[in-house]
Amino acid sequence: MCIDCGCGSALLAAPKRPAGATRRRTLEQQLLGRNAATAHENRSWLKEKGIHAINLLAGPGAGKTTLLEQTLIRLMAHRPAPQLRVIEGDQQTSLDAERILQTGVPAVQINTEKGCHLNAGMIQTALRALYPDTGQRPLTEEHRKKDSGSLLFIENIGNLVCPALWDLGENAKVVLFSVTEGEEKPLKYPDMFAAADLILVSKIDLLPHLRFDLDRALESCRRINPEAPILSLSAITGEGLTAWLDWLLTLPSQALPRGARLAPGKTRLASARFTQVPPREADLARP
Amino acid sequence: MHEVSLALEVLDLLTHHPETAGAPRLLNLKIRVGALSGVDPDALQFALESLAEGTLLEDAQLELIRIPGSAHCPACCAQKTIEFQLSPCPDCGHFPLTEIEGTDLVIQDIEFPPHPLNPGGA
Repeated sequence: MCIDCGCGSALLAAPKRPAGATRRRTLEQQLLGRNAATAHENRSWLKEKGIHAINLLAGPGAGKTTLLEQTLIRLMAHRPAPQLRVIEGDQQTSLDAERILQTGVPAVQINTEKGCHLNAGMIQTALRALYPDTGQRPLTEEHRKKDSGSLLFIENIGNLVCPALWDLGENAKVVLFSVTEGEEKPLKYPDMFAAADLILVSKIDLLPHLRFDLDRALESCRRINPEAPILSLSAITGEGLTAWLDWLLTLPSQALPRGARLAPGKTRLASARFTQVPPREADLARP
Repeated sequence: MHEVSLALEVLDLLTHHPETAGAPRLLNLKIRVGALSGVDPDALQFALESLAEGTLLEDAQLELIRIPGSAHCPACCAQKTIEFQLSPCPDCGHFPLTEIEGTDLVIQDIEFPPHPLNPGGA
């Protein structure tokens, strides 16, 4: 019986907490759980559409955009040419997306403003803008054919720290560092290099002008990530690009060392601004 | 660098969590941060303290529980301390190691102040 008024409620008869008692609750909430859920949605969506997404990661100035331009130009010339799309991430400006559009490949720009990385929510929004045909509607066989053999490049924010933590739902993480950055880059930023499915050493055309020991750089990579293949290349001279293109074109059939395996989470940054650079008519008509 | 984003995520999660939604403030918040999580606990604490004003964390004591990174080396048949997830064994160089621990990034528990309608208990 209720001890307060004698109403007979067992619920109210529950013993009260002692004077001034605090209440503790166990949450066990994964901090990146929401990002992980959105990344999982992105991954499923991309898989269903036959699109292979590459998260391109590097510090500022490693040559991500230049490499991407040269890569796209060569992939477009390849037969059969895969369908290509690009998501560009920067804190500000749509300069990079404009450079990509010059190659004829449709691109959207994400500006994170204060944010130091892309997250899965931003990618989800960008996917809707990049693949309007297949949006939220059920897939037709025609769409499935059209999108199969598709490559989506996501150029992350120039930063070797934060983007390592945010899973976007990509198939592969490709980490790039240039010979002007020093041989120990992988040792200094181990989280990023440990997460890589492929490591690229860029700007090797500059080697004659530098005291950069390529063997030591490869050794640094190996110490952090013994599994990921390493390719050295120059987007300017084209040296080493063939191996990189082969890796991309065989991506659908590859068993990657990690990529989807290390899957952390998502943050929906309220300040993230999304700008779509409209593809030109001619670009959209491209198969 | 990304700790501010994570602190914002903590606030957002707590604001919308069924246990804490509508709670005016918390007394205590415990977050487990593993050495292999890629997150600096000091930076996360600083970010949370900086963002706490006007939120349910304003008066809360923040406890960041550090979990060391460790893994089992099948070659040495022993547990080893490691500094990042894909480390080879620091002693014999064996790779890969198994049973990796210390990747936690978890809001462990929260503590509410005494209920205002029950300040003196029964």
